[in-house]
Amino acid sequence: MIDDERLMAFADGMLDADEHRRIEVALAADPVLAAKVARMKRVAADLRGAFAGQLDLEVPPRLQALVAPKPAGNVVRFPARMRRQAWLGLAAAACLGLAFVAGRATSPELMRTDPTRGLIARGALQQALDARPSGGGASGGVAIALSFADQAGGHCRVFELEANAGLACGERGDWRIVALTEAAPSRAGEVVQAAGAIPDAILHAADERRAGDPLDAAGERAAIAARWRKGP
Amino acid sequence: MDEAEIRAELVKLLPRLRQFALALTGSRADGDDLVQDALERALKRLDQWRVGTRLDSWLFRIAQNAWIDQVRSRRSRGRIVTEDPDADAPGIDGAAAMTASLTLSKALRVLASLPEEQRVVVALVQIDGYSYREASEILGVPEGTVTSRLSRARAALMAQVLGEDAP
Repeated sequence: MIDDERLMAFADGMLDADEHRRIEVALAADPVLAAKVARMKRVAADLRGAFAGQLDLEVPPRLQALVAPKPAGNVVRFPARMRRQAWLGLAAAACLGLAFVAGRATSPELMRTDPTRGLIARGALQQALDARPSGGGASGGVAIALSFADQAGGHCRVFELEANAGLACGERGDWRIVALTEAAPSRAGEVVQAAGAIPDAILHAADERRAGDPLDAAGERAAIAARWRKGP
Repeated sequence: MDEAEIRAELVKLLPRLRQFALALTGSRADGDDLVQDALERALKRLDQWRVGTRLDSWLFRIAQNAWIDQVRSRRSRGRIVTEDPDADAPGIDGAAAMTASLTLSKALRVLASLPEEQRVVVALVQIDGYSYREASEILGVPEGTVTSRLSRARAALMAQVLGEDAP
């Protein structure tokens, strides 16, 4: 006696060669069983037939767009923890304007103003950008959050400076500060910032420049060792 | 494989994923919503897919989990879904399907009458063409479970499609 599950597996061609032959022999001697298998096969064929042509239909653009590989330069997905709302009170202003600074009063020990290029990192900020890996916490008031390759073939780094966050990109051997936010004092006058979080404004600026995902630890070590020289 | 390459492979799987979702949900609109849900889930955890394993199986597993979640959430909201593919998608039977002995809309009605656990096995094995073993890996159940679900589904299909009382 062959049960229905085995007959079905036979009809679907799922049995190994020996068992398949054994059932073939049994079917040859039993017209009722053979008719049953024929019906099983017919149902399977009917079902497949009903779905004929489905695979040739055009996929709606919205579904295509969801998975299609993104061209470089689109919005990057930085790690979620980086995206946390950071600067209470600043978010709105930062998203609108974003401090693309060109000479605002900043700590002269950490930045100098170049007449044509704007702010250039110096001192402890420059040293941190040159040599410190990301995620190491603050030292000398400076913390480096992440690094990435930019579309110009160089590198950029997101940093935190006291209550400010900024984006610096390598340029002619210097780190040019291309974006800098200024912490907005809350109503009470004190600065409110969640530790370790980067404001959206800086991430937006990073998104616009990045040529790939943030460097991992190994990639960053290599870039530091190569003194952030541009790739080929 | 970097993310762009995985995405390119996912694009190639879209027609199969849509067919799978159509078979599960019974309508084109609900099917494409399920596809979107599944893709969003997959994209969120691309890092969980292991090179060397099959991307299609991984994606189908995510899709079937998304579908089960949708079914459960509809039930918990007390919404009884009456599946009526004809009402949802007029003209769903294309020219190719009309010449078949079983039309697509009839097939979708029959599939909708199956319990979910049987429907998904039929969709994987009979419609997409996975082996019993592959289906068992996608669903995370023993192969014997796939066989018994398929066997019960097949009995119901034979009764409805061929007009028989018993297999």
